[in-house]
Amino acid sequence: MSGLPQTLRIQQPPPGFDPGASKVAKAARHATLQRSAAIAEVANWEDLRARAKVIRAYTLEHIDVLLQQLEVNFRGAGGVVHYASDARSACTILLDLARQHGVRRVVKSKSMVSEELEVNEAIQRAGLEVVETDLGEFIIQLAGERPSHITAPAIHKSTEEIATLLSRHLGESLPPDPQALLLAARAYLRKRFLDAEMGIIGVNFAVAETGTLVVVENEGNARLVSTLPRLLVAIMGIEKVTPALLDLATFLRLLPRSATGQVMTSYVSLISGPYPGQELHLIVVDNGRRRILGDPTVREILHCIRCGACMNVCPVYRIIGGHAYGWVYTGPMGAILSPLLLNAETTSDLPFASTLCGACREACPVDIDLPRLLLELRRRAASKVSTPSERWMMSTWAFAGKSRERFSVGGKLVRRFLRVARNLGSVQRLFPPLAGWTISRDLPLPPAQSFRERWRKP
Amino acid sequence: MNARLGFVDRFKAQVEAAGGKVVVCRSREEAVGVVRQELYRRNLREVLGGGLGGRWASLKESLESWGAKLLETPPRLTPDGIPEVGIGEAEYAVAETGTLVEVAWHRERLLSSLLPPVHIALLDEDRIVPDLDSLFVVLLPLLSQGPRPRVVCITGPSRSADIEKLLILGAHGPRELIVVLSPP
Ligand code: SF4
Repeated sequence: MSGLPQTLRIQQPPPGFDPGASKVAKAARHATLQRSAAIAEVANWEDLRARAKVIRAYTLEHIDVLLQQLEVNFRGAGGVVHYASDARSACTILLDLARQHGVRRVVKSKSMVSEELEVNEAIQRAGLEVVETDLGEFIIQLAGERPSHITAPAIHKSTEEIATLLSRHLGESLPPDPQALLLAARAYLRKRFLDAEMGIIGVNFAVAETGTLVVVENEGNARLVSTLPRLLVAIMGIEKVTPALLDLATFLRLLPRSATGQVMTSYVSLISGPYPGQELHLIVVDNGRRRILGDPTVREILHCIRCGACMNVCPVYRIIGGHAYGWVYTGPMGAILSPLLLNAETTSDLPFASTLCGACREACPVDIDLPRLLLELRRRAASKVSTPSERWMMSTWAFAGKSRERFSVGGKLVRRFLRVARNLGSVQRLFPPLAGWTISRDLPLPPAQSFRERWRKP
Repeated sequence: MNARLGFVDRFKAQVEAAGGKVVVCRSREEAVGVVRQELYRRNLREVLGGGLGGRWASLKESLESWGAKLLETPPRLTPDGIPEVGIGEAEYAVAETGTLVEVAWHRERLLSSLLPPVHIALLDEDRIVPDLDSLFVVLLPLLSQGPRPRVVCITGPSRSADIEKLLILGAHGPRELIVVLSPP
């Protein structure tokens, strides 16, 4: 896996970055308002969330049986199922299929898992052409970037930037007018759809009971990708399976409202087998998911239905934007999923990019306890990297903090110690093992009295 | 859902909220007239209508007697070979969400609601189910064995908000959706 980050670190903002005015913040606020309005008119929203949570938990509990059932029914409808343990094997299966069918041109609709597997890179390395057809994804593919948001990949780009980019690529001078840009992109992509020999789609849900793949979208590009080329390949993570067709009634009430504030998206395709004359393949991908399944304290993150609500409400995401998360999955969900999927040996500081305000959990349509998961990952990161002295200090801190007496006595001691240290000229440069704290910053001198002491004396 | 609102009213309101249009007709003849009117207004003599069922034979005849052609497939699968209007039948519709449901057994059936910029959907009143739960109960037997149809749920015209969150109707699919509703 070439482009994968060695360690997941919050990236530095570019120079001149102005968080308050950022497009990401505006778009995220906008999406949050629309979402609130859309769920306000659903009387039993909390019941729906609870039901979805039960379905997701049941699914993970019975995932092997369900995947087997999905395979049987998918095959019964005329499709072919492949299993891929990691990104490399998934890309190999895909490229073999392309080769067998003499494919030269591929069209693709939006799929997070294919970003994760770096499918486009693999296809291009094999000398084939691949075009992203979701408008936002198309824009960032032309820009050679990564999506900054899972449901609105290009929200960080201005209309002017997009006009310049499309003008350059389509070879005509386009005005910075969204309508005109969309029309130009539509015309350009229409031709790609009609010429392509192979289509690749992502999957929102896969119904075990009927072997049905469910694709939720607004633009119609996933419909074109799944209808026009004679060879269609769907890629899904193992956790996308769901037991019953009726589950969709629950998920389809939750997902569009949480993602974009819509009652329903323009299109929901139910693909059960190929239509006559088409060949349909499904690649079911593990790529680290089974490891997360086997880790009961954190497996809840696999309940995620990728709506993006948690990032829209996240105060940290709104300021740092999607690219800061360093990989395909962003926001609170990404801060948990990325380190777990990558199983980063080196520590990951993504779970620390949160204020633990709890907004993400409240917004999550499947009620994932995101703050708990963030805390759990922090705990793991801390136990892995900290030095013995750091750990000793943390546990002393915890010991002192758990009783009022200990805390005030301890505070008094530390204040006295630091004043003595200052008199020795050492607050700016503490001695080991505390020296690390003062390499790049000064320790502020604490006041002589604690707040409680001052409160008591009028 | 407000129980006093009938399915038709609720369905109509939801389609309109999603940016589509609903024309309620009192008879099938009236529905045929509405379709003709839409083509006439646009000065069109060709319309894509792949896989339109026998129930709509009268529409076919009416269009032909008027000199318009109902094409099974696009004349050419090139961007300029696609007619301006596509006509399709919706097998079901969902009042709760204003969703049309197409059940397609072959590829041609999928194109008329997808390729042309304008999609006219023919719908029988008694095909409107109250909510999503009812829809999936109805679809289950269809998707449970043998060769399965492709099912597409359509709510309003295609749309994109990918450029600075500005909502634009008409992305890769139709920019206009007209539902012609008539008694069975
Ligand atoms: S964690 Fe919840 S809110 Fe966040 S993307 Fe997943 S489902 Fe949506």
